[in-house]
Amino acid sequence: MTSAVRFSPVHVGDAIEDGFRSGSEQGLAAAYQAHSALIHTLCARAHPKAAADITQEVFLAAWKARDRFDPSHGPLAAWLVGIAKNKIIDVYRKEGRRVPEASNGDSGRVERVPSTGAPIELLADKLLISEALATLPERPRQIVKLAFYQDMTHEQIAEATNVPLGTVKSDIRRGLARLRRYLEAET
Amino acid sequence: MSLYGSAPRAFSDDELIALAHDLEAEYFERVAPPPHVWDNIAAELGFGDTKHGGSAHRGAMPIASPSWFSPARLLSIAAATLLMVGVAVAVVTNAADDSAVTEVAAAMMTDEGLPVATTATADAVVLCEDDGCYVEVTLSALPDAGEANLELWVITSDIDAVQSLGNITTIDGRFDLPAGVSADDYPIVDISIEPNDGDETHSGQSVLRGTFDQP
Repeated sequence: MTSAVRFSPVHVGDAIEDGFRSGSEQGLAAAYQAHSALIHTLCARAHPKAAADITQEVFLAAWKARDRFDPSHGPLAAWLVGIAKNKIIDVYRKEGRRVPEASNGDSGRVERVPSTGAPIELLADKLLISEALATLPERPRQIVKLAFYQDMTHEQIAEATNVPLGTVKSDIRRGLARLRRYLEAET
Repeated sequence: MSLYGSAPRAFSDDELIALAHDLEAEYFERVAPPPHVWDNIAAELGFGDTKHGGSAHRGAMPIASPSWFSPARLLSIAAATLLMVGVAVAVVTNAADDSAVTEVAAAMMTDEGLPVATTATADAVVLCEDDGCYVEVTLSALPDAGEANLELWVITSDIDAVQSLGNITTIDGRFDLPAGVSADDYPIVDISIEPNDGDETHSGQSVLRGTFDQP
């Protein structure tokens, strides 16, 4: 038997990305509905006074450049975050101000990740990680939480959850792949 | 696709885990933009009747709430190490209750022994709900197919029957299993490079393959 019958894959998130690329009003509205809170949160943390204005600029710029969004290079959320980072930096420069370093809560400690550069990048990365984790199906998300937050070994998770060890490992690999897709997106 | 020409970045597993591990609960919080942001966007682009001061979208633009990973839930889990077994069982039970999804098989896919080499790997999981089963595939990266397509297949153990599930265009996707095709009967999961030559049969150019294990 050969592949006489073909079935279309259903990609999670593709409907919104396809709609956005289609150029319809509904496409932008759906993308805005799905991602505006993420973008506004990033802007609000980086530049509270201009957050609404920057969010607006991000979606306008993204819409005008939508032909340049390529889902094979990363998810729409990450592409929008990439635009937002640059818009935030632009605003600070126009104001003649130095781009702020993200402080770590009330301790005032400056967060830096040497491999990723500036703290604004770290702020965006952390929001993208939370976004990526949210897109995982329920079981893999719970498995990843146990592995990443509780530092449980694969064996401990398998025992505690009664999920086969191979599935636990698979879920964790899938979780890492999802994080990587969001963080390594070309923006 | 870049608007700003930023260089691609690469993260090791350890870096990803460290970033996720150190993620404070506040990063799961979202602050929706005020309603006038959408109104301004719609007006700027000439959508709806916003030019006349009344937005068709005003008040009709609910923002997705991150209920999936609330800070309170995260903090409660983070604080409950001693109760971990109970929490773990609870979350898995909840997952089953919420979605009624059952995992029936999983496979790890590599290029071992295949005609086309790649550094990519993939995981495939077969999940079933009331109305049918599907395969979720997650690749570490898309293997280079040049101008050709990547196609997902399931194959019987005797290689006698081959079923296409569709083209792979992103590193994770969901592919419905047609009625009568199960991981039991089609235990080999395969990704091949398929030229755009109109031939719908398997090209033989497999790049990733694995075998479903039953949980």
